[in-house]
Amino acid sequence: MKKLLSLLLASAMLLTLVACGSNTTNNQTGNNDTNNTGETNGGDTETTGWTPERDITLVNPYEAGGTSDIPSRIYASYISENMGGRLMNVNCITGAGGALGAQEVMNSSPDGYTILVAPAGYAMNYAKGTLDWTYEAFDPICLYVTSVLGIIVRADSEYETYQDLVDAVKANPGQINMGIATSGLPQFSVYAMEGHEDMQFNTVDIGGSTVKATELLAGRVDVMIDSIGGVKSYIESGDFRLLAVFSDERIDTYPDVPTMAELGYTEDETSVMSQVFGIWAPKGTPAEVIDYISDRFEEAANAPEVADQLSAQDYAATYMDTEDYLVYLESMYTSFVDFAENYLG
Amino acid sequence: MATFLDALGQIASLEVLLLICVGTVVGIIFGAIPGLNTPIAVALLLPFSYKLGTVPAMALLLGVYMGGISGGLVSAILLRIPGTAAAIATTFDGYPMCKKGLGAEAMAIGTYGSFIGGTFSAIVLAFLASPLTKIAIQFGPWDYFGLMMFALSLVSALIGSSVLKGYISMFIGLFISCIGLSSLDGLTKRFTLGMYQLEGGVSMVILIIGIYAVPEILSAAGKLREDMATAQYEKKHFYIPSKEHRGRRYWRVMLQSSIIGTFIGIMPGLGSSTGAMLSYTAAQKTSKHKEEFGTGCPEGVYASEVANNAVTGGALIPMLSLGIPGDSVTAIIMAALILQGISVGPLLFTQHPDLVYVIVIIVFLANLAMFIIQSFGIPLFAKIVQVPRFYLLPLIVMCCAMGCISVNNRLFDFYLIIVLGILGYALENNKYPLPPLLLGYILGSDTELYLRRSLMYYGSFGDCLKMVSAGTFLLIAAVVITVAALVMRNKKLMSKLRGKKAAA
Repeated sequence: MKKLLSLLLASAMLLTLVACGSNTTNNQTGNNDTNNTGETNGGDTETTGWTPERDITLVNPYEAGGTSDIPSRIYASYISENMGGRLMNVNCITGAGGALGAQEVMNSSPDGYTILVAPAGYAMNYAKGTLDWTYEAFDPICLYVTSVLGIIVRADSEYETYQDLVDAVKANPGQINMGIATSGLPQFSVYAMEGHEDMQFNTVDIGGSTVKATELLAGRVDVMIDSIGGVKSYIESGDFRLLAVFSDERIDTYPDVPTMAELGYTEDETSVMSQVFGIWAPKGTPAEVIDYISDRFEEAANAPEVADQLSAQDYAATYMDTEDYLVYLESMYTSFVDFAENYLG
Repeated sequence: MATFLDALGQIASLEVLLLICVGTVVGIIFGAIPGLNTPIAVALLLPFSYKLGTVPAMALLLGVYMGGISGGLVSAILLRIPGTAAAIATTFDGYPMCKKGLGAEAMAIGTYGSFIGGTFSAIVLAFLASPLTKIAIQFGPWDYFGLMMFALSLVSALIGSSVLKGYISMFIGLFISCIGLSSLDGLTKRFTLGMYQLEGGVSMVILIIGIYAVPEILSAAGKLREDMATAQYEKKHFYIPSKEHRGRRYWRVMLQSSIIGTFIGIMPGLGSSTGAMLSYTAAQKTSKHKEEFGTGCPEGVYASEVANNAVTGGALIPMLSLGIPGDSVTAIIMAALILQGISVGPLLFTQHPDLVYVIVIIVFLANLAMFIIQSFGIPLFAKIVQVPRFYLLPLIVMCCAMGCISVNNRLFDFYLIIVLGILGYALENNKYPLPPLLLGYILGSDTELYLRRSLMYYGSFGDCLKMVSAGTFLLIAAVVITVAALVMRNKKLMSKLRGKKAAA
């Protein structure tokens, strides 16, 4: 009986160790390796100063499998192969329109091991007054991927073109259901459209995750604004139709679909419609850590296999280094705040 | 048929079959340990799947999914602590069976039931995926709101001894789900008492450990000197339920629970715990042996375990036919497919018909693997209750503590467990049923979300009620059930009514 008991206790301990293994083993190997990092530095990469001693966590503030998750995982899996044996893991901390994940990174230690996927939606929520912090509460690292939003209707919809939709909305103010993810970037796009055309949608929330396609499929919303990558397969299957894309130039995949600029929108209006994702670190992260992570993302953005995987889902591997990205962020925040003043009063 | 054979060919390799078994074992372990659950296991294994091919990756992840949902029954039956939320309803009859000394038999019944439920849903997945999805997408926010209110009132009104106490318990759960940033827009911080750790809300793992495990450990510690019936089991290597426990008498409950579980699975967001609780309540109300429920009857264990595994196949249906995940685990499995370069969506059936068959066959094989592995594991598990409790209890406390700290890597959650544990102990000892509390918590934020969406879609609550829809119907049913239960449980009122009838 005693033998059996000790065996059982031992196996129970083992089970719990296995279960919590990911954390414990990381820390242990991290400690062991501190002595060796000097050697591996010199050998593998020419970056000076810093290499990770344990795995890096990339916090995605939205649902697994969503618009920000897929490109993050494509990058993370490429970068994991080029970080001297250390991995980059994507961790989804969701809730409150992405604010929770940001909060989590803000409160982590600025050592480069916890970094954030930062969508343009943060600038919009700041301009709306929902968030009380800007990019200045973080140390932005780089811009790494862009995606394109579009106006989407059902394929059997009576709206053949953008103009059909506008005419219908003007004829029935507040009657046409426009589906968006509240607190997501499309919210400002709707304001821009309503302001530009002087019309009124009935804007409804269809959630931030992949579930939103059902609302359009079942016809509960008449039109929605979403990333075109997310609905690509529905367009191919002949369920949905694209009326316009929110990008500077026409998209290769849909050469017949006009851009918003072609439809007469000003730069002030289109500037709040482009979906960009950057990487932010907690405030106070050392410069060499930022350089290291930025370099890894640049390598990945230039790798053909990453570009292929991204473009298959209608994303673009656009990279911008720390300096340019900071300039970009400043102008992006200004245009969102200006837009909010002009359109929301 | 050719594609089916092709799919079979892709699976018939040692690597794939081994990965199914490995995944199932990992799933059972994560399911059995309170504080760890299937989404955690699948998320941890996702990075490994990048390097595997599509078919091996699916074998691994689906194995974890099937094993994890079933594994929760072990601690639910032996310790009255559900290993995962899916196994909450298994404690109702599983633990009393264990107290009678039928622990091994209860686990065998649960395992067999899981296999039946999982297989049923795999068959539905294979043949009815497309038509069922077409029905499911017709469910709008108002219908979901009605369905959730129906589930909440059904479980609250019928599961405990008192309707009022059930409802109070459910409202405490709804209240806990309100803690944190508001769910639709994140505009307001609710009941956070100025603590930023509460902005994310109370996580499910913390709540289950706090409400279920802590009070159970406390009351077990209070009864250390009493003797407990040790599980009597024959020395066998492989357990299947005895003939009388899988006879014709249980066919009806198995079929009913399979259908309820699969249906709940198809509805995105409801999840296996809701499926199991609804199925248990339904089985109790429609059974010929109502009085046996809660005292340790095989029917109760079947109702819960058949349904929670039937949810798995159901949840895969909208994922495969539309690219819409049915629960948090299928969302991660879908991400794994996308990272393999497969666009999941309405074209999957036409572009990758072989893949659909591959997934169906893997689901079936994973259920089979779960059945065999868990049946062999029962003698091992059953020994847990033979361990003197002054050794066992600290071990469980340690598991729970590690589980809760692993959620966010912070000590705050540990204090939260102590607070929730005191709440759970107080409720339990005053005969407030705990399942409605958990269901209220699980469905709370979605109920709010769908109500707010319905108001955005249709204008006002009155406008919603005026619609002839499943939502309105279910909402009325929810009210009727509550009133009926209140009246029927109230003996004074009943005798008055009878008296009046007699007088008239």
